[in-house]
Amino acid sequence: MPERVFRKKLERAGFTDIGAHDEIVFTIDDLARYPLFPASLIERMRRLLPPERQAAVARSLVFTARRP
Amino acid sequence: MTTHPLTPRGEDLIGADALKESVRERYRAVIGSSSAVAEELYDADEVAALPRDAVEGALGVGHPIRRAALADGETVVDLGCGAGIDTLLAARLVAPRGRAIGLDVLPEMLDRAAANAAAAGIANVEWARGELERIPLPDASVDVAISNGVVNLVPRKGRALAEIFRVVRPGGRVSLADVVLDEELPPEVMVDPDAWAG
Repeated sequence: MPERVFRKKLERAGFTDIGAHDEIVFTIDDLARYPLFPASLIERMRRLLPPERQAAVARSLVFTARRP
Repeated sequence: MTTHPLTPRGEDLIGADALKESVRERYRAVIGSSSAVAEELYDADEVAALPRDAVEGALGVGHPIRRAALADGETVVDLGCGAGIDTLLAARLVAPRGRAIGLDVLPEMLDRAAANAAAAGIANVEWARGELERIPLPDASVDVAISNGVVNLVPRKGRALAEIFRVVRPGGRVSLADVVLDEELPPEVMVDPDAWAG
């Protein structure tokens, strides 16, 4: 889900002081390192995603928040 | 609410139960075979100080402990602990008076994590089987909740975050590493259950 949706869901759950840190951009080659993704899926993504998207398929963030 | 046909949600495509089972099957099938993920995400000294199986079982997407500010005496729960790499790192940071709880839905993963804790000589850990959508812990029972690439696997993410809120004590905090997608992947990818495993 998008970052703004994650933030919104944290807020709706009741959390405050919400932050997002330590961004990591995942390329298609990064995803291929995860054994969770079978080779067939990685191959399909290489075929379907344009090169610029393969360079940034997804991001990770560390969301921090506090229960008031 | 209308859903654009080209931007389907996973549960819309294959159903929440099927999505959960697909994710579980993928995780069951993955027995640590590479330390590539851990070496990318963790410090070399952290990796060196943990059992090989915990390192090879690392499937996270970040380092939530760096942002958790854990201190001696705190109780921390690692939601979706897998083979236990974050649980073990957290346990060391809250020792000697604190404890870490590793929660996972798969008993196979809990067995691995417990074995890794024993191999590392870490005793201030407990293990619990359960889902994020129904965390088997009392209200306000932990100081800190962490997770690493897990919330995105849960069909009802709002429900999971409400459960996390419930178990964290007032004044407590969360540090949740997770994947965000700013732009949807093509439908041909989104309909593949394997795409929802990470």
